[in-house]
Amino acid sequence: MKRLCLLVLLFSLFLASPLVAGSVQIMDKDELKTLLGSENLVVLDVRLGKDWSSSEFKVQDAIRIDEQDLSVTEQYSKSDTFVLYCA
Amino acid sequence: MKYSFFVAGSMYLGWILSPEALVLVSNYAGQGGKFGVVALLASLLLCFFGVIVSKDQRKRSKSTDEIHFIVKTTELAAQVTLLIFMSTGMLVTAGFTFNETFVYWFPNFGFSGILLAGIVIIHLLGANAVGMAQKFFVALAALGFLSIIIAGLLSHSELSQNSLLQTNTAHLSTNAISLLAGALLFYTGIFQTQNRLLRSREIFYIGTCAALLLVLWQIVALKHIPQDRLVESTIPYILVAREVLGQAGRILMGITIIAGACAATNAFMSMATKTGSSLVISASSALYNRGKLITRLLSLLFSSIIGISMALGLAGDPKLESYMYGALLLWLFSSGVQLLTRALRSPKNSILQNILTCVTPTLFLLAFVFLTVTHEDYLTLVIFITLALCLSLVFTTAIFFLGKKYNQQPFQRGN
Repeated sequence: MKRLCLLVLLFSLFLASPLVAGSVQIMDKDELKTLLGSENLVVLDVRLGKDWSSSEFKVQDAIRIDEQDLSVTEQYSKSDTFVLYCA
Repeated sequence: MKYSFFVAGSMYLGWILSPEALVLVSNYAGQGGKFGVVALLASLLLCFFGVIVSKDQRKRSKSTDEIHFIVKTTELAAQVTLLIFMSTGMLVTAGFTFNETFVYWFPNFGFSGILLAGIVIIHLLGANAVGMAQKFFVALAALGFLSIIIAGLLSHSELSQNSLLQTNTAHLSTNAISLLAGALLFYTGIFQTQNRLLRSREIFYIGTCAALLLVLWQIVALKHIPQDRLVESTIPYILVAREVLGQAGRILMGITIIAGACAATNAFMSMATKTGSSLVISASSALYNRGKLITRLLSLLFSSIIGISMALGLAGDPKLESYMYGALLLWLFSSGVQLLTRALRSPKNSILQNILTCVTPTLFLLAFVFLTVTHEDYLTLVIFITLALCLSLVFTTAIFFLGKKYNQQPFQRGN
């Protein structure tokens, strides 16, 4: 019974994890399509390893960076729109 | 149960038709142009030479415990790392391919998980199911692959004929050895024990079949895609398929990639569980009759490790590519060691024959060293390979001592 409770708790935490990231806006592909090409849009492709190399789809003009090192964003204005593409 | 010729052959061809092999062979085509084709054929001839000079591999003196110990240690390290890292990478690739080619809304990792679960179920069903599934996966992958090759050979290319099959001499001078050494990676599996050793004649048939597929693919790739793009791309197979047949090519390549990933994973799982179970059995006479159970338990264990690795994000680890390449190099090393021990044990008539039998295994081992030290991330490779060999050594040593205590002939029985 204890194990079952623990599993239910872990699963609930897993399901609730998106709430933690609630303050970050999610953009769907159609919305991104309308913005592509605009001057203040910065698309950061944070996919690494096989996530990036196996994928056929790469976003146009996206900058590929390591998610652990966002220093490249310092060269852009804070008013720019940053889109992080991770999957 | 011993594998039939078709099952043993398809176990080897699973690797040839896997996404990783297709990336490697396409990158080599880009690096070397027509020399890539020459390197593939030269490496095949080297393997055939090894087979001819060692004549019948079966007629050899019995190995000692020590030789068997060395062979098993390298074999286990290579097969387990191949299974865990290479399979993880290939299943993830298959997941992406399914998501991006067939069903956009279906999560890629979900599909990878389904494929892994399917392969586990096949292994739990037993050796017959593994063999049948392997033949199906390879036939499906080969069908898609050959369709693209034939269409590519027959179709017109927009590339200028002057650039076709033209070898960049600057590339050639720097990459000639790396192409020759790298081409051996495609034939590594042909000498490995896949439930049984392949006969010389079978090696000729399967090797020729594999070389034909790879060479024709390189010709098609060079005909349709500029060399620079073939070198740089991480998915060159899709570029070629798309260029040759458009959307239909993507679909055919998608089928090839998914079936090829399943075939390679199935083959690696089969090899690793068989080697693992033969070792576990040799630890104690009490385990002689538990071979099938141990093989099934090992397939569950290994697939759990792959599943957990995928869930923990191993696919997104930038080092995964190095680990996969390291596993491949370990396979080359293991084959070299296996061939060398066979060469040293085979009955010889003259000094010349002694030397000749050692040529192929020595070149395998030199290729292993060359490819390791010339890799851009060689430090990671060296650490990975050393660690894998050490862990395997610890395991086989434990089995060896347990076998000495509980089994009169460790590594000989139950093998």
